[in-house]
Amino acid sequence: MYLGPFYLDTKEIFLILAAIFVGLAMFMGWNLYWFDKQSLLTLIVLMLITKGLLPAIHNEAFFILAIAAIFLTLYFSMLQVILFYFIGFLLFRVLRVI
Amino acid sequence: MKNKKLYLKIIGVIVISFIVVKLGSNEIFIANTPKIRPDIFARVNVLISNNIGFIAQLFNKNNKNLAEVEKRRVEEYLKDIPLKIAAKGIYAKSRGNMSYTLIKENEVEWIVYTFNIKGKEIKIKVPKGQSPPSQDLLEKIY
Repeated sequence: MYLGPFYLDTKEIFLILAAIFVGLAMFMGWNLYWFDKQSLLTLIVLMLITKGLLPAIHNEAFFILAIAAIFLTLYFSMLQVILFYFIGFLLFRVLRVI
Repeated sequence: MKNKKLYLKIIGVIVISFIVVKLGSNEIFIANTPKIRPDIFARVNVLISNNIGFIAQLFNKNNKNLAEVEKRRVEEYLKDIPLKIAAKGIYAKSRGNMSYTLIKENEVEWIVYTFNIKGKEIKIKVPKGQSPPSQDLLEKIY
């Protein structure tokens, strides 16, 4: 889908929609079971930035890591989740996954 | 085959990242904040020396624990020095900064002291010639 000069594929559109929903949930006071809205929104922003830097051929690795990071927000603090996310990317680069 | 390899790598990376964060984040950062501990090098030194000791013990061919190994080392070093009587039933020998003490319980003359700690009667055995512990100390222990 083209948004002016920018091209967004399906996955990115869904990610942006998720970010909008989480943002709305924060400001409108909607309840999300177990998940912390602030952590989710921060993580979605990080994911959008990293997705912007990666070509589409690495979508699988990116999304598996993203799902794992979202799940870990239930158990770890935000700092640990962010560290996990970036160490994951570093190891992907070292092992030539991306 | 190529896909299997890729997924294995991805899962491996996730597991390793999880382990690194679980074990390392509390050692490096203070209380889940981005602030790095000021004593991080000292902590890393202690962690490394503890783990080296543990790993060295695993590779020890005789598979004995460190206390036993140390005891044998002291005995070997002091084997040609005779034991001297320190008190009845207590023998000792030393050379340099190493010393060895042997206590033969059946030979020691014990004196039994009875103390009343928090309403309970407690008996303490002390070798003859040594002073018994104070009431305050026993109240702290019991």
